[in-house]
Amino acid sequence: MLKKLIFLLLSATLLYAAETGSDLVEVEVIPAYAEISDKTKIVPVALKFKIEDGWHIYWRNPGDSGLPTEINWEEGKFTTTDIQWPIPEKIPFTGLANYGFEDEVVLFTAIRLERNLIDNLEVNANISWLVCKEACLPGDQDISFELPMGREISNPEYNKLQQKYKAEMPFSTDIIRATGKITEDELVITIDDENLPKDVQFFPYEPGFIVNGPEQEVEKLGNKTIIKIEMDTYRYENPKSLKGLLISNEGIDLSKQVEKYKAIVINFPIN
Amino acid sequence: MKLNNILMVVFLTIIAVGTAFAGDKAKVGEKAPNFTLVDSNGNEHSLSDFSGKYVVLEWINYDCPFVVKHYDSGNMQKLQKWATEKDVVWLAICSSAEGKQGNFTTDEINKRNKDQKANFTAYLIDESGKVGKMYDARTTPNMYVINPNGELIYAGAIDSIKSTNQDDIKNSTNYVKTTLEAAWAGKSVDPSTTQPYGCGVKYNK
Repeated sequence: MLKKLIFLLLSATLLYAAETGSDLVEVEVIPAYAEISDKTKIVPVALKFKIEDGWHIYWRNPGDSGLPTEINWEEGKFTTTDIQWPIPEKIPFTGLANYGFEDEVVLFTAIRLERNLIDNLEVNANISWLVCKEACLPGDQDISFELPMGREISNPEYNKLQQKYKAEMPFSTDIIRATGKITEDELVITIDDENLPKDVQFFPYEPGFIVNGPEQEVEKLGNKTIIKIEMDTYRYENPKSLKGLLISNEGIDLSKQVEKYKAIVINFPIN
Repeated sequence: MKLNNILMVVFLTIIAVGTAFAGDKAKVGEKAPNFTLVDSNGNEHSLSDFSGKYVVLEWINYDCPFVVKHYDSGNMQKLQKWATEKDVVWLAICSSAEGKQGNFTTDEINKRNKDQKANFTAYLIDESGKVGKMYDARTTPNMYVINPNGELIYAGAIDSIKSTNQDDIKNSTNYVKTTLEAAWAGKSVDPSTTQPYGCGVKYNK
């Protein structure tokens, strides 16, 4: 009898100890309002992810493996906007690389309310991810929130989060002009800015085009900055343009701007 | 020695070195690089052994959730059976380094093969990752199809829906199937490359 009990206890502990991908990540939803009015058109929403130490989840372009973190909204009286992703980290692994987030990351998105909303707003979604360290584990979590209909009242927690994450978000600007040229399996990006720091790198929004592992070569040529990147020999075809981030830990100093940016969005045509 | 002779030697050396590197890495539309690996039963196999047949390479790691998706559902075994019954050679290759996920003793591998009722021709062990790097295998699974002329005609994902969800299998296009069917019918393979999805291959460095 005692042996059976011990066996059961041990098995229970083992089962309890086996972590799933859902155990390693916790998601909190923080809407921009505590209450909405019938005039409210958009409700920004922040999704705060807490990730177990040493593990990571993925960016919109996960890189050489992995899956992007996803929001699957349940149908309701609203539509949703695309996710605004903070600047990801490049996570190398044995010559290859991923793009993702460790510790904590906040994804920003928004709910667009349908015009004749008179009831309280009820929002449900399932957030799914692949969380990896050495091994990879799929995980997901249901989130939901309800906003009463009344007067539009801001949620200070959201505002605090937005302020905190300002520096973590890529900067969108039309100031930087660039063009790309692909010769065989090499992409050369020519950027009309001679002041880009030497550590600048390009992270594409779409996977499947560039080789992610190696450090990209950066050179100056006259008043331009050149980035040379190896193209993936297994790419389906040459892209006609690429959109993504120019990232630099040193910080990108855009002329006429005061702050330095860790990442700026670029979108360039390819010949 | 005459200058001409010296130049000739230099020229020939450059060519020799050049051809040694050409074809070292796999590329769709080109000859698939040859390799020799030992399987889980201790038998050696070279890709060149199978010249004249279609060959499928399946990068595997039994503990990766994407591989589990295709094995727990029976999808991979069904595909292996279908292909091998049509005289296709199916080689599962594991490039997991020692101590990393997916690396097992041959006893454990054979046990897993049996438990999973796998239908591949052989499970090849690529612990050093040499063959994986030769084929630029990034994920498990990562699929390659080689035609009877030794040409690589497909490289990439097993199917069109990137997930760990078994329910997605029935709604997706299986690229190994479409590749073989197109090749058998003498049609062009399209797509001949797709982005593979899965866990990263656990190379040693």
